[in-house]
Amino acid sequence: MHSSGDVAKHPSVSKGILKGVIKVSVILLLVYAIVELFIGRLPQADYRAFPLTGSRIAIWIVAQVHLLFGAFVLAVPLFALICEIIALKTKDERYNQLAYEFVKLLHMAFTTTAIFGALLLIALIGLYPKFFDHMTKIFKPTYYVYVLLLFGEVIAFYVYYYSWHKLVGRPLHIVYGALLNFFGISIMVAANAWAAYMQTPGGVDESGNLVSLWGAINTYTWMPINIHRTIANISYGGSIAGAYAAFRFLAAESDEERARYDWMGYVGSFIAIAALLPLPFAGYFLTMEMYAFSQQMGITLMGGVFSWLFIIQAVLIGVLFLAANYYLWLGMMRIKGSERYAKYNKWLLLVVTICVIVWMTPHSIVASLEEARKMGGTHHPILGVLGVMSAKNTAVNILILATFLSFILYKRANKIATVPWAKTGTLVQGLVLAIAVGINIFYGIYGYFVEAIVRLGFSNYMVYAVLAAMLIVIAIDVPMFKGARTTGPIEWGKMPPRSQYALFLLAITFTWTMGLMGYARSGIREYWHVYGILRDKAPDSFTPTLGYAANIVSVTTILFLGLVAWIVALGIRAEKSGKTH
Amino acid sequence: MSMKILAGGSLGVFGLAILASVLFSTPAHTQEPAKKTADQATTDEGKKIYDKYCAWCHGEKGAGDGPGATYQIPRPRDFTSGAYKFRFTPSGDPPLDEDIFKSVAEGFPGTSMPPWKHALTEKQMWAVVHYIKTFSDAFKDAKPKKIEIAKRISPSKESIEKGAKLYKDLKCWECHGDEGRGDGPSAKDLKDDWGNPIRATDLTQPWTFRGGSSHMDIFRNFTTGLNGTPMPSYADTNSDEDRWHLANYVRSMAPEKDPSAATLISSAPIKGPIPDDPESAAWKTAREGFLPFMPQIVEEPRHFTPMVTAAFVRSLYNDNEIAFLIRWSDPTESKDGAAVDAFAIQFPAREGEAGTKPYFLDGDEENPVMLWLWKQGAAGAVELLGKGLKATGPNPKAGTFTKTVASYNKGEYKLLVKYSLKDRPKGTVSFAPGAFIPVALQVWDGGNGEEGPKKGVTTWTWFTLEKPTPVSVYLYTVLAVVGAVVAQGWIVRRVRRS
Amino acid sequence: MQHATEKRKRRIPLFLQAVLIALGSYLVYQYGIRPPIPASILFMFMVVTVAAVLLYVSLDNESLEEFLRPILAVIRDDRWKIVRWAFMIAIPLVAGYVVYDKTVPKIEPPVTVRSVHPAPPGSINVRGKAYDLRTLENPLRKDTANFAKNVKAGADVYIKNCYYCHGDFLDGKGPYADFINPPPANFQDVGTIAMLQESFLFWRIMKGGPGLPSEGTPWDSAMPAWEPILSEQEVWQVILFMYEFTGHKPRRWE
Repeated sequence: MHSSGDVAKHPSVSKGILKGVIKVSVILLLVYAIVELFIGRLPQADYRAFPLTGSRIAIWIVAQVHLLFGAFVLAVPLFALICEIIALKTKDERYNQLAYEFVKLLHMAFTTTAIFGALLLIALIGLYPKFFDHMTKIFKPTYYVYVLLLFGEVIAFYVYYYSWHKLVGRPLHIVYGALLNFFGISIMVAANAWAAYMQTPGGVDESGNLVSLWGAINTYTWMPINIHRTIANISYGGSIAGAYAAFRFLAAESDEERARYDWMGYVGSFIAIAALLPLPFAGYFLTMEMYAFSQQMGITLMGGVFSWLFIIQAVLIGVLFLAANYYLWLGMMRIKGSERYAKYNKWLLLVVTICVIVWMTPHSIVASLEEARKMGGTHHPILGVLGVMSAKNTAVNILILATFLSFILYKRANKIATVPWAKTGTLVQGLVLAIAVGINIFYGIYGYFVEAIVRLGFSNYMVYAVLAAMLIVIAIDVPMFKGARTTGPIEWGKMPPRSQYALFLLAITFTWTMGLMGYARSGIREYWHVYGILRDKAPDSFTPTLGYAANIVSVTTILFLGLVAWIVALGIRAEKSGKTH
Repeated sequence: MSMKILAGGSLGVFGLAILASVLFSTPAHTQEPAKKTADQATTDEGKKIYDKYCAWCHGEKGAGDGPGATYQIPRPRDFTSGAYKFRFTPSGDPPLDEDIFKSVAEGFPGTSMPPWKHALTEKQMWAVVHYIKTFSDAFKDAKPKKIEIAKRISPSKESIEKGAKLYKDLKCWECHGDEGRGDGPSAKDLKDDWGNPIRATDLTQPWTFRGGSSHMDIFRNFTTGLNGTPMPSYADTNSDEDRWHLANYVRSMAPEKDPSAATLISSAPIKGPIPDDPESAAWKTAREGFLPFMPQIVEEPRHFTPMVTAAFVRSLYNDNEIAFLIRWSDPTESKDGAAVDAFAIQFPAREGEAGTKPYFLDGDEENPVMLWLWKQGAAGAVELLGKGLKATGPNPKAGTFTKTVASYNKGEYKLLVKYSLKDRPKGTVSFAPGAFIPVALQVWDGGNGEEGPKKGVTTWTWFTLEKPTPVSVYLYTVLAVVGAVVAQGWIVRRVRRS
Repeated sequence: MQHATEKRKRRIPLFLQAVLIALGSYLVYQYGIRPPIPASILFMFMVVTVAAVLLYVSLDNESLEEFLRPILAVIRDDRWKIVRWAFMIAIPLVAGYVVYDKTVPKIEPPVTVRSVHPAPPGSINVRGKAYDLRTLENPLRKDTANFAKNVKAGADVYIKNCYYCHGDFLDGKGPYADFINPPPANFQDVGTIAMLQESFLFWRIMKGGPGLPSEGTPWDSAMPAWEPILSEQEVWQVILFMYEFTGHKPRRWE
């Protein structure tokens, strides 16, 4: 694919290391200079106001964009490493190309992340000096570690990147990739410690004096956040890869190019959805730890104003499921022989739609006084039934099963099983799925007739039923289609353009959800910088309305995606000019 | 084929299962056959239900003396006498089983008796009916006969006029008042058969008619009389036609459709001065909001027997002033003594974030309210600061009332207050057009012994000054139209060319 | 064989099918659900439904073509000139109307976000005594000997204080319920006291509307704070009564 001239263009690894060290040092020095020369001369204050937008919005936007880029530069190496390992295992060179498409975007992305990180640091020191002093008092030693990790990350990146063409596919390069990911995840883990401390502080006494640094780092939510963010990053990387591929697909000029990016979009979205599935469990772990730290915080999150964010999240997850299924259904078009299954798609669509509607129905309702009066109470008798956990568990589990079924049908679209027990096997699969659905519906309805604790237990059975059904179906599927007759290869690129918009939607929804749920996690501190320790007395410490929060999240999403688009455009330009030379 | 089984089979189950969940999630109404005959099992079942749901007002022995009875006007029915107000039997006779059943099932509007059909099955209600009958000897051997309802006369103009004359001739006004507001000269001293005070119905508020407000319900009441009350039967003294005319007239005293409680009171902008005359065209065209009162039943002295049931509010504003015109029914005009008629409009004392409201009963220390209080006999409205029911006093940062006009005529008060927007103290409610301001009302009927915390109140409702439409709205609209024209022009061109 | 069945199924043109499904769903949501659902939910349901219909018609290329055929015909074919112009005039007008309707200041009360169960504080102070709501339990449940007596006493408390709003069936339809916004809670409903711990009720009764957290949504509950009126004993009794009468079980601590 890449000519040897292309490789020769890349400078040596040692030069890359030097470049990385200089880059990080320059940015750090700049921050230091700004802080010393400007902020240091401002009069003492607990809070300072940022012109026009106010401090809160300024810091919110800068922090969120930094965080999204952070997720991006963390996700891409993870994604690349996974791809490289798959390539090594399957000997499918396409995975390496896929990985490289992103790795080459990384250095611009790193720079942008660093710039926003620097802005965030300046904003924190400048606008919230009292809060920053407190954090420094507790976490000063970790700052040095963080800076060291930064150097490590940048050096590892350049080593990984500049050695790509020489070493790709070899175990040594995979070790480089692992090293890069080690630094990346360590940076995230360090920053998570600060965020987790703000939310569920530990290791300090009641007036906020440090008792144990390790206690301040290893708080209730630290580990859950580490896990939740790592998994989410894989998913996120996949969705961004999918959107990038969709863009390249739509802009492609040749069938060959189209085929490549069609495949890339498929892989990206597959990784995104696969990594998304365990995410609710990580989220559950995080919420449980929050409850364990403070019941009040847990209830504020799940029962108060913030519960609305979960309703919005439910809507977004509904969108994700619809988009993912639609993409799979349309994907059958590139497979000859898929007509056998394509006709079931509309029924799957019906099931998915009904489940999404039930899943989205909120327990708390936005209603005018007039409407509330007509409903005759604080909540609607029928919507209320759909709004509680019982119905939602059933809906989302069936949703997962339906998506799973879509995937299974997609997978076998060009295969005809040749084993003698194929008919029985399929029958058993159908039966297993039906039983899982039956169990979910049974417990979903039965849940209304028992008390809350028992109902909570039911949700476990429901999840087990779904997991068991999926495992059994796969366990039958694999031997059943061993040596299956094929009706034709997958014709990559034979995909209608409208399918690609599903991939865009996936990426936008992911980004938006991250912003929104990040706000939920951070917002439940309410009137505290550090929950229960350091009160937020800034003039704009109010809990914003949902619309307000949603607008800011939208602004950050647009800003981020705009910047990513710009980086991608630069990458494509470099690629084109590289070709013409 | 086998693939079909996989997909089709599981889809079928999906479908069935979802259908099932929908069916099961809506509460199934079990239709049990109504039991009309009384036997021991039925009355036993009736007793169980009665003891659980009815006894706390009507008493364990049915004497209308349960623990909840003390706080109610009208008092709960005493079943031992066998006297029932709303029936299809002649005056003085016990009711039909169906009459009691209907009372249980439908309840009585304007009283504490709720419709039980939402809570109990038909079978349960019948069981209660049979149990209730065991309280009184009146049902022994009695074979109540259903009265004949004469052919209805439609409420034509002539019929209503005839009814009006009958209203005068039959001296209905002696209790119910000239305009039907229950303010007649003998209304004050009415007592029921048990010696408890009883009110003459305010005929302008059909939504409070206990026995229903249809023409038929009213006609029935004239025919049967209301047993146990001073309301007699006119079956023997007047013809069927007369009673229909009268029913048509009584029903015509109020609009056909009951008002529903306002969720927003709005003030309309007006050019030039706001008229002082409630009958002027500007006031007549202003929107009217209806707000029902509940008595103050929270803090001592609690008040369980309100008189004024509702008020109607209109509002106008110009650059200088905002004005409220309020009317309400009050059967007695009380000017002297400790308890005089009064009315108050309540706003939050401070201009807060939209949504933060003080407690609706005069606020509290942290979130005080401002009360515009008018008292019968006073020179004009005054402004109070409320920090709780027992902590209201003159507002140190009071605004200015530029005019107060009050009148009492035939059982109805009309109160007009004007408040200066120019002299508004800083930090108080701004009355900025378009903003939503919480508002609540309070009323005192001196004739009913209401003073201080004993009063009628409403909870918060929204109040807003209508904003003239800003130019930007039209701009956006035009932009939308132009945008749509351009977009579809582009699409159509593209499609037609391809 | 299969093609024949396909053909038979497609007797209603796809475009019409799509319109009918969307319209039918709207009618069901709007008129099929009683009491009517709020506009916000209706909008949400319709967005999902219309999206699903669009996905449905675009599941494969042939059906997308069939769906678009009448639309394209109207645009291209001059036999449909009148219809085309009707749409071309109607669409901008509708767009204009929608924008006007959304931007014009309206005389209607603001929409409120209502959260059914607000978050309780960790502990409360009632008449100088501190209660930890995270561990608080109804002490009367242990007194099994006097259980019936306590329920009876609770009924008395209820009829004297609560029933005016919450009703004698405990269904939130007391004689004054209609005058209160938001309406009083319906304890018969499975979504209220059946989902809550007794300590939550204790807090709501003692502190009432004024005691709701300031972090909460615009909350204008008319619920009085019963702290100065009822004793601790009476409040626990009435809580006992509420569960006994409705047959609900309080949520236990996990």
